[in-house]
Amino acid sequence: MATWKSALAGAISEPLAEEIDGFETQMILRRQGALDEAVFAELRLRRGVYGQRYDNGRRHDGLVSRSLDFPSGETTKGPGTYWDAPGMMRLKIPGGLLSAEQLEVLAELAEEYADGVLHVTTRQDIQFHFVHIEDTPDLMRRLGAVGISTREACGNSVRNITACPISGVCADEAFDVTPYAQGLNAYLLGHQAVQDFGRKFKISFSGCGGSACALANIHDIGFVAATREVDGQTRRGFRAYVGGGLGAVPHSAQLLSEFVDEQELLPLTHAICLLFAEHGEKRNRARARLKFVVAKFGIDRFREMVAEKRQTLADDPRWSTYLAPFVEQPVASQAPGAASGASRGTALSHWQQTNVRRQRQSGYSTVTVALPLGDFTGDQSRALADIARSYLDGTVRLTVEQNIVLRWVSDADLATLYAQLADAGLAQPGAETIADITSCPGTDTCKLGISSSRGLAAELRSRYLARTLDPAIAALRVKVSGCFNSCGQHHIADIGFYGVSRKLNGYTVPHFQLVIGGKWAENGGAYGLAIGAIPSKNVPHALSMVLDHYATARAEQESFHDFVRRVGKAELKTLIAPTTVVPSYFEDRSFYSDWGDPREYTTGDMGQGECAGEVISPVQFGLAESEKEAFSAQLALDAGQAEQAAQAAYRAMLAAANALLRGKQLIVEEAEQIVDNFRRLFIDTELFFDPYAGGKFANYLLTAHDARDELPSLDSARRRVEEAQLFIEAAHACHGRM
Amino acid sequence: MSHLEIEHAKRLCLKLPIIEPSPAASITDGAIAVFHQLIQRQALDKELMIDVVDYRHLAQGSQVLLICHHSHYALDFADGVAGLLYRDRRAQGSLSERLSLGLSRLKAMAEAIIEPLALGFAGDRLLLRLEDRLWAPNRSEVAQQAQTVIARALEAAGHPDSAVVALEEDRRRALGFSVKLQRALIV
Repeated sequence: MATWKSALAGAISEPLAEEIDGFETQMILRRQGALDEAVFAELRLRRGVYGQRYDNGRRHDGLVSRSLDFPSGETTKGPGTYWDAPGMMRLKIPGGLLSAEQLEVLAELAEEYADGVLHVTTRQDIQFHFVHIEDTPDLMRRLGAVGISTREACGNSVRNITACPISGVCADEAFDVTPYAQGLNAYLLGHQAVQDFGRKFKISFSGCGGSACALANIHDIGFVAATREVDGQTRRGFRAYVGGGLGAVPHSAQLLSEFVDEQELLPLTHAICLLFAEHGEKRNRARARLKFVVAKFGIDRFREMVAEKRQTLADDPRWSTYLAPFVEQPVASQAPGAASGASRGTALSHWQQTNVRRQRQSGYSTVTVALPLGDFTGDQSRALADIARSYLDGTVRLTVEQNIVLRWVSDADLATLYAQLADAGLAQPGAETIADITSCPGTDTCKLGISSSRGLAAELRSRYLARTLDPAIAALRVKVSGCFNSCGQHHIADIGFYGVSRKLNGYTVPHFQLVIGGKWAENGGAYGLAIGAIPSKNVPHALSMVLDHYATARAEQESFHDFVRRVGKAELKTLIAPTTVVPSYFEDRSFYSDWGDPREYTTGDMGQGECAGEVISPVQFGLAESEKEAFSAQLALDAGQAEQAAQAAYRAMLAAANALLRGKQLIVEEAEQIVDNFRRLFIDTELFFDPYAGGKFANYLLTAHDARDELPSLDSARRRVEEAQLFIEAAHACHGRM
Repeated sequence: MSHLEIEHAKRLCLKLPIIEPSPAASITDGAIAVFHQLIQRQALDKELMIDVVDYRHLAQGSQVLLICHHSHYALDFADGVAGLLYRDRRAQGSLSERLSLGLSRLKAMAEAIIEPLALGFAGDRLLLRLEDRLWAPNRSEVAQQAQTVIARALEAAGHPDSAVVALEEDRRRALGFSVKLQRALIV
């Protein structure tokens, strides 16, 4: 009987073949019940085999919650995760670099094992959805045969290393960071130093500090290319930043070193990984990222610890050998040329305007293939493989904005390339504009999704692609996450959204928090904050209001970021206030389902609405009060008043906790009483616990209460404000469950 | 490769062309709701229906999918042909058995959506693919053998004298055939 294992024998490295065989054995053991489900879950995650929505065997079909009775019965592939349930498979594509051959194999795998679609992630990865776990070993073998690994694509390890997709052809970069990203990936993949982490670990390489191509500020380690003159010679190296991260509460990375010589790149990273394994939290996942280790010791002490750890490492030839084979040189299959002028107003000229950028090398351009929601089909992948061979250097790059960049396009080929892309349905304009919206999977496939981020992104995309826009508006970035976890990177967008829900008169209504004040440039240079929850169906209207206000009230050349700072969030909050109102269920039922999903939005049995009028419970009044406090905290933060901001954030959490206590018919006023009773009634009982994050949000109140007399820094005040918002969201969710 | 080996080919894929409305793209919005309703009504016998997937933003390929445990169904626009697609994901048995099963499932699905989406199908035509590059690589000699096996399997499934023609196309695609049935699958 032919198998992919026998068919590909010799095409896969022996260690990789053994690893995949080992995983197959673990699958057998798990099916026999001989391997603990939690252990197996982490093992499969480290092989890129992820869970997906409804894998707990339940789904609400809009009328009732129904059990999904999978044929393999009670067998699980992780706690509460059924064996037969479709899952997600994530690959590891360092720097997003894919060859034509790899694109062809990915097309085959999408068609044979998934739903026919390849999905580009915000880490320059590819994901397949609706994959059965029993298909994953063959999928890994076929990937392994073309040099793609799924190892450590998920789980508590070093995730895909990202790099600027135009590195090597960018006019602003110090040098091409590609070989460094590839080299570090090869060094760390499967390395012992990265096997004992409490959480994931993310690394990026940027070629410059000004753009956002690799987002150094939001990474556990962010390297930014730099050069230095040493003894009359130009040395290559990196500014190294550590402890950045988005997630529920974002942290900006801190400067670890002004210059890490290229020879020190691998050992320095190795040392940081060892420190993370030693000092990183292992039990409390909510505090297990490197940012908490850096915060705990302080950047100065952490820097000393890294240096000390580095000294303990024995020399390893791999630290420098990977550099030897790489010589940066132009790679092009076509001679440079001049573009033939496209007539103004044509589809080609529109596309050229938004999707084509001049390379550093004269006569060549980069072309961005704007993928709607990061998706493309198997046929489109093969078309891209043909294009990579015909017009490029045989490769393409995935981007963190879920697009594909084609490099080394001779300007003389632009018109014919456009025609070929158009034939493949890949010539949509609007790359890197407001229409090119980043989105996480959200409620489509993610178990944590609260609102339909992809549904909203698709809706906004189609609206903004159809409009002629003021250039200042066209240049803005919109990013959407389905929950607070920021997989859609909403914190660093000009305008971000993250999914929340609200319970109104017994009905649950999908909402998005509007996040304002983030900065995409400067490697994710500033984080925005939520200013108000808008019902999903009103988000396009609210966005239009904000953009119209910017278009009419901005000062000359004023960026959106500066505009927000000038007018203030209070004004914007007032502006969108009318859009926050939800019509009753009987007035407009469309508000009670999400974008692209006609099911009534609910996770449980619904109560009946009140036709005669709105009935507002004391809990709702209390939660509204807490939101008011949270907003005043933001305003204080914007004014640079750290202490006032932290105090208001603390009061917001107290108000939300007190609101829930009122729901238990308990009336208390003193902070100590609120916290004690909240602990007794909501923490000890786990009533406040998030189904996935556990007691994480409850701890925000306890921490704030303990620190209420401390003088906060602006950074810690910002975190407290963010935590207050999340605590309030958790209180809304808890109220929904009560 | 012998006929017997082609019998092992998994992941059979069948597409029933849509002839009404034209262009069929206009039905995708309605299809989202209809697919959700099929789940609510548990309308497909012996299928564990899991979820509906919305890929309407894609210019090609499957745009609205109904994901089931054993099969995927989709309104598909690949090859410039609108059609109802059936993709066998986990069916067991010989190719003949799975083809027979596939035809009955495709028919059941077509019947379930024909009215709510006001569809018309070219009921005697099928596009058939073997999405299994291990057992059915897209090579001319494999296509030739598979053609015979498929014709025989169609006969066993109650469709004798069907015309099966291998598609001359990109060899990187899954092995594909156009099929003309003597008796329409759906009228």
